[in-house]
Amino acid sequence: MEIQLTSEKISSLDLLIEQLKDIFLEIPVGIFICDQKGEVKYVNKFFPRVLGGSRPEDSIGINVLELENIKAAGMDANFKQTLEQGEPFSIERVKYKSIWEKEVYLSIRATPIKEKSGSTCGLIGFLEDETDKVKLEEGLKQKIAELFIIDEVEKVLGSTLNLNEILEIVLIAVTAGQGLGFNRAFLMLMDEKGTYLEGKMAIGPSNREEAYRIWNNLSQQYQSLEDILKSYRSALDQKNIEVNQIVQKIRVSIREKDNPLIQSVLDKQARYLDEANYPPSFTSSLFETIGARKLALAPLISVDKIEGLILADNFVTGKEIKEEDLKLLQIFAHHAGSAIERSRLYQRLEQKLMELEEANRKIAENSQRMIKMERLQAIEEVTFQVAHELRNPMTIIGGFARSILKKTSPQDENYKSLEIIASQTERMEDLLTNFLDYVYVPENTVEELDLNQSLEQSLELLKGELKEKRIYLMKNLHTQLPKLHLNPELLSSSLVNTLRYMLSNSSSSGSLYITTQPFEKQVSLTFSLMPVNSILPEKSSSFSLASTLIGNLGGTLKYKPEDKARLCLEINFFPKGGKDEQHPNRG
Amino acid sequence: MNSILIVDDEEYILDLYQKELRDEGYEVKLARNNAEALKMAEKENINLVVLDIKLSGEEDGLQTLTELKKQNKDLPVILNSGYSTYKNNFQTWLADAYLVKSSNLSELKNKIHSLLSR
Repeated sequence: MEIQLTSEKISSLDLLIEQLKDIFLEIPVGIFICDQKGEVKYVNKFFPRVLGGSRPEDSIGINVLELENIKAAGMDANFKQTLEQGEPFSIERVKYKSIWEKEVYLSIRATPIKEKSGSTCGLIGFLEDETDKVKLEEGLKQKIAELFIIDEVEKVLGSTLNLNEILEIVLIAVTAGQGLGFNRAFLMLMDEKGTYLEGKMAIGPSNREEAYRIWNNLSQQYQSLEDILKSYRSALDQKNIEVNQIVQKIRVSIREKDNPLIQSVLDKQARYLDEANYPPSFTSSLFETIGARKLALAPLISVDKIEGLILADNFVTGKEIKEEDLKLLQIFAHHAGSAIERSRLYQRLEQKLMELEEANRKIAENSQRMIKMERLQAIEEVTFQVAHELRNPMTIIGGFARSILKKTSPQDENYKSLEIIASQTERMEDLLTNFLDYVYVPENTVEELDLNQSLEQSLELLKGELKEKRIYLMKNLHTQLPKLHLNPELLSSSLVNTLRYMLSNSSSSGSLYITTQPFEKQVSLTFSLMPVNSILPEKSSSFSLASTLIGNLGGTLKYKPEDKARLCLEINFFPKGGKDEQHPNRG
Repeated sequence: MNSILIVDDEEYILDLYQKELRDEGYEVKLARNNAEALKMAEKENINLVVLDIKLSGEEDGLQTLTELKKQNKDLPVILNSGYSTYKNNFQTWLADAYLVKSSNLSELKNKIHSLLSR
């Protein structure tokens, strides 16, 4: 806009001012009019608010070309140019410091006032204070940037369910320049029982040089936070030994209600922690451990569950932690808390899935086992029937043989034959008893058993036979044997059969030395009998029977060759948690 | 003279036990099934019963044992079976002894003697 005035009117700007006064008065823009020398002739009431000053009349007479603050903002040259060359100018958002040292943003427009001849006799200036707009815009930009950061972090956090990876992403995001930009970050997680906050992982340089080198490299090579998060997790790992050692020293009980770390998680609020504001008793050890005086804390909360706490500081740069930093950290921590919860839920789900798979596997296994057991039971029933059918004829044959033998003279030619019939029948009966013991499958109950106790019970059962064979017992039983988880009847049957086998090889008298002891992850039982008849245990059917029984219990029976006069057998069982825990007869 | 009732469905077992126990000086009576055993125990003067668990057909010696004990709880009964596993059956606990059949009758004789001497 160019204002044309008659020469009469130009001689007195007052007339113009009078005419514009009403218009200018209420416009929320600082307006001034100055003459050709730059001397202010008129200002409206907003002018002092914009440039500083209390009353409009105080501004009358000042020279805009000589105002220090105008000069400092570089605007004097523009005004001068308008006054000398008659050209209007417009500058957007110049940073200007008022006489009260208040920093404002001004948009300035100046229009020359010209005489009819065309010469410039002054200018009219419009000063618009855009400080609020600029601040709003900056705030908006900041929010957009924050949203961008959160969006990027959220994207990367959503890309993994691995808890360690999530924790690394959290730490990098807190410390990366493209992220929240803290120097160091420490992560504490709530333990499984929810009783302690424990330091888990940290990131950050040990000193300024290292910080500069790391982040400078990162920002030069990678454009976005996402790039950094994706690419530098492993690289940073190797450089953060010191901070990780620090964080692992921090452990706080949830009961310490006065501790600011606990307060932060219980209040679910981020907070700024300044050593100066806390009694030393609360925080001195924390600040000492971390080596910083000022910290930002943000709880990791998911729904209502406390997952942990982020601690961040500007240990290297000493940069002030602002309210906005804290807010952003809190927003970020909220997302991180959800990601951690998601990961933990996934882990639990995975665990449940594995348990389900294991349960399915066991069901399939048990089904197979049940089919086998059914078959075994069918065999067992038939076997008992046959055994019973055999038992009666044997009793009859052997019984009558004995009956006749009693009334037969040893000199009788049939005496020897009868004796053979009687003894061989008895032998067959013994074999049948052993066989029935073997095929008899007791209910598949598993109990916690003490081998020493089971051994004593078996020896008690064989007391008569031991006495008859005049076997002297010597025992060295370990008192602290691990418990076995076996079917008691099968264990007892296996021990009785092993002992019977031993006795079947004994001479008319002898000694049986028995030891029990824990051996590696097993429980070992050794029988040593002497003197013995000369036999080869491996070829004995009784030995095979005893071995099969013990094998069915998940144990082993070994012949230990020592000397010809001694029979030595070693039995090994696995306690619970040892080899072959799932054996059908072990549970 | 003590009178012993042998209950078994196997004729030769009855013969053998009768012969051997007579030699020991007992009066021996024989029953081949449940009904016969219960009837004899009720009517005859029986001092002890030797009872097989598995009788022929559907008959169950354990049922006979229960009935015998109902008739006279003080009548000693020895269960005599080819099945050692019946020892684990609580129904056999009613009996005064459980012996697995054997061609060597010494154990049976000793048990009879000890029960009748009580």
